Amino acid sequence: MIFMSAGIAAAAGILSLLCCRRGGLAGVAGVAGTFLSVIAGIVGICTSPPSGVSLLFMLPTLILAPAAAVHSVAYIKGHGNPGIYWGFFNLTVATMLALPLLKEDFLEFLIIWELMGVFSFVLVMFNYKAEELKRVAWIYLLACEAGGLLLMLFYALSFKTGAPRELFYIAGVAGFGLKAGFPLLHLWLPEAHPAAPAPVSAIMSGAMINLGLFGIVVFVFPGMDASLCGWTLLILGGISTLGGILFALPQDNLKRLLAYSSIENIGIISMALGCTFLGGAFKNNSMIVFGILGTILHIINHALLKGTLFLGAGQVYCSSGTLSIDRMGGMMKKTPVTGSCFTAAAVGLSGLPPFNGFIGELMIYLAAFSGICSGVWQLRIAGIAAALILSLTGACAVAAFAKAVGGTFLGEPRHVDDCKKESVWMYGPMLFLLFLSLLIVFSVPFTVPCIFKVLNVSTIDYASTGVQKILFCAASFSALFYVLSTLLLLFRRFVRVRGNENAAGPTWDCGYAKPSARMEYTGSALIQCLGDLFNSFLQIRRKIEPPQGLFPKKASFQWESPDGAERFFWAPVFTFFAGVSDKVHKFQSGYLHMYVLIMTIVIIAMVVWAIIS
Amino acid sequence: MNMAVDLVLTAFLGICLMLSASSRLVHCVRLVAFQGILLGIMPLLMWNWSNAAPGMEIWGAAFVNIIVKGVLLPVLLLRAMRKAGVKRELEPLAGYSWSLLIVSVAGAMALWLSRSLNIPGVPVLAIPAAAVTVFTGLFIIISRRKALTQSLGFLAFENGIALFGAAMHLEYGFFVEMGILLDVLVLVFVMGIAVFQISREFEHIDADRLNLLTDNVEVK
Repeated sequence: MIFMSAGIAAAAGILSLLCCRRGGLAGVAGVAGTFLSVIAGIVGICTSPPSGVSLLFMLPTLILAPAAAVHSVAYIKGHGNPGIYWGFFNLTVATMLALPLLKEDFLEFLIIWELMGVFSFVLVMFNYKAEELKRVAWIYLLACEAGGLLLMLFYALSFKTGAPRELFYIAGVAGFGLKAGFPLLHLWLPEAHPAAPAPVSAIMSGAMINLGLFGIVVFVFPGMDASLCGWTLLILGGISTLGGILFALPQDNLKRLLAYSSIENIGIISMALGCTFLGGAFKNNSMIVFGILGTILHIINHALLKGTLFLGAGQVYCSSGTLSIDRMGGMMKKTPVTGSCFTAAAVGLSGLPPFNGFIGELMIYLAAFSGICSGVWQLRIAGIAAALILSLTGACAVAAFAKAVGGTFLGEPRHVDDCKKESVWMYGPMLFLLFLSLLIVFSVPFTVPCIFKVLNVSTIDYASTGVQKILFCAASFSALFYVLSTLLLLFRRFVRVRGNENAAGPTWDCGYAKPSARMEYTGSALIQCLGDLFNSFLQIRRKIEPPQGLFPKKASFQWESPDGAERFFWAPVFTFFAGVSDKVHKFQSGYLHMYVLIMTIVIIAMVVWAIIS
Repeated sequence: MNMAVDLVLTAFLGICLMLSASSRLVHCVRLVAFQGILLGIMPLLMWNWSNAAPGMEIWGAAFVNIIVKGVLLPVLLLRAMRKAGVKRELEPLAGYSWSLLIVSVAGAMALWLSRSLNIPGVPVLAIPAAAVTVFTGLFIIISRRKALTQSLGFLAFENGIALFGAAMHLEYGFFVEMGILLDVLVLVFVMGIAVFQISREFEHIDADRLNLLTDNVEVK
């Protein structure tokens, strides 16, 4: 039954591809197929539940796929061939639903994994007529295929008995890490996410990159030393988290910022998993419990909230025609529901209290603190590192999202003139995802026993850690907040009815005779102090043309922050190899004589070598 | 019998030297045709006649080899030559004295290197003769300009490989031989037609000037 959901999605995808001449029919088949497959998946989970790990990594897809499908209906209108979009959308969803179930046989998994890469590649370059997309598509394909190659090496090494374990381990972690966006391997994320259609970014960011972690946990770690696994995840995750959020700060492209935030969140999930593994290695019960809960909650929270954010970015793009935060501004007036949803999700993803993001990060903090309190020096170091990184990241995340929300939605429009209105097809899914986030806040305290029952680990004693009590506290605190804020809103409405004197005026009309949008703080201006603080790490490129003279006419300021790994690691590496291949290419002279000569020399050399040795 | 085999193998070596040093195309075609006939009778000479008469397939292979390599292909090449109006290889990339020197050195190297490859039942000269023939074929392809001479080189190259097979008594030699023969036949056919077409289009058949279709855009 559960496999049927993937089957239905695949069938719907092929059906949509078949009727790609008729856009409307393809759209109906696509949306219906996605919904049917999700329903089949839920029924399948209820009737014959898969193992806990599979379920955990299926859930984001099951939640995000229908939301993204509904959003796509409005998004892809006038954006190319809908038949192709829906076809590959459903095929990608099918592979993503099937992957977590294929944990018995690695070969099957690898085939579906490669298919997922290829299908999503088509989605990423759906808007293929745009010139700048060629580079992005190339990077994405390269990342997918490099990952596949490493995984094939991993598969081959698993058969060789005398093969070094280290190579096996590194190949597996790097192969899956390419999908999960581990440090240095994250290169494709900030490129592919801004270029892909927003619903596709939502699915890829919320559900697909998690599958990299799934692969690592299910295929690479069994048989390995638990503390090694834990340290690997903790260190890689820590670097991802910090690097991701620091590079998110100065980004001007809204979706690029969100992509870096995805790197950060995958890092947080890895750190939570790392804490769990370390707890397991040193038999620390509370660290395991909090670590597992943190992992589960953060995977689902990230899927919900990042899905909302990407869908919101899609709405913003459709309305304003740009993704540049510095060019937008004042979108809240035209797209109020989207703006509110985006703000709520941003608050949640920053890990601020009333939302579900807070509960997930609270669990991870608690895992880190129980490591610090444990008395084992390894766990102490791990706990201190995790807690420090998390707190620094939390602060930076707040700044990054303040910039994203403030720059995009608040103030006056800076460069965008004709902003289109929002559509219910686009904000409906966002409301749905936010509703689920609220549901999580209040249902988690009750579902903790259920979670541990599904995980089916009898050695973990969750009751002794008092986790349920903590969650109850958090939930009631959130409830209190919601009640208070509702009261406040009602009160404000009441006051407004009574005193009718507030009038609508331009934003920030304080003291200036004629305020204009050019006086506003842009997103970059807001974040400049943080950018300066971390400049030794970010290496921001600045181009300043200061005002000169007593009556300056022209002044300009530009800054951009290209990816550090690309600039300082991959670009030199690829330039080197390009140089080598250029030299090799000289052999292809076009002269038949030269080709035969080279061949002959090689043959003679081989014969001489064979005879002599 | 052994005497005859050695004689034929020596003839192979001699033909290689002559091929590398002659500029007249008719002469070269005749040399390759002669090489083909010698190749055809090789298996018959190698046969141990005191035990039993050779079977049908040996006779068949010899016959087909002589007909195709000794008669059919040379006739085709001569026709192509006449049609394209080429008589001599005028400006080889490596001069004739140099060619002679290189092939001689290669022959000496082959004789010296093959000392260590002493396979029982195989004539001592067979392996160096085959190797030199292969080398000469490749060398002609590398060092001559005309497409016709190059297809001659390819024929000589193939003869060398076939000599290897005949000398080593390869199993299923017959079928392999026929397969290779078919390849060569098709190639020479195609070359014959192509040479004619190319000479009509470009008024020359110099392969070193036919590099305009290369992928490498920097080459003019």
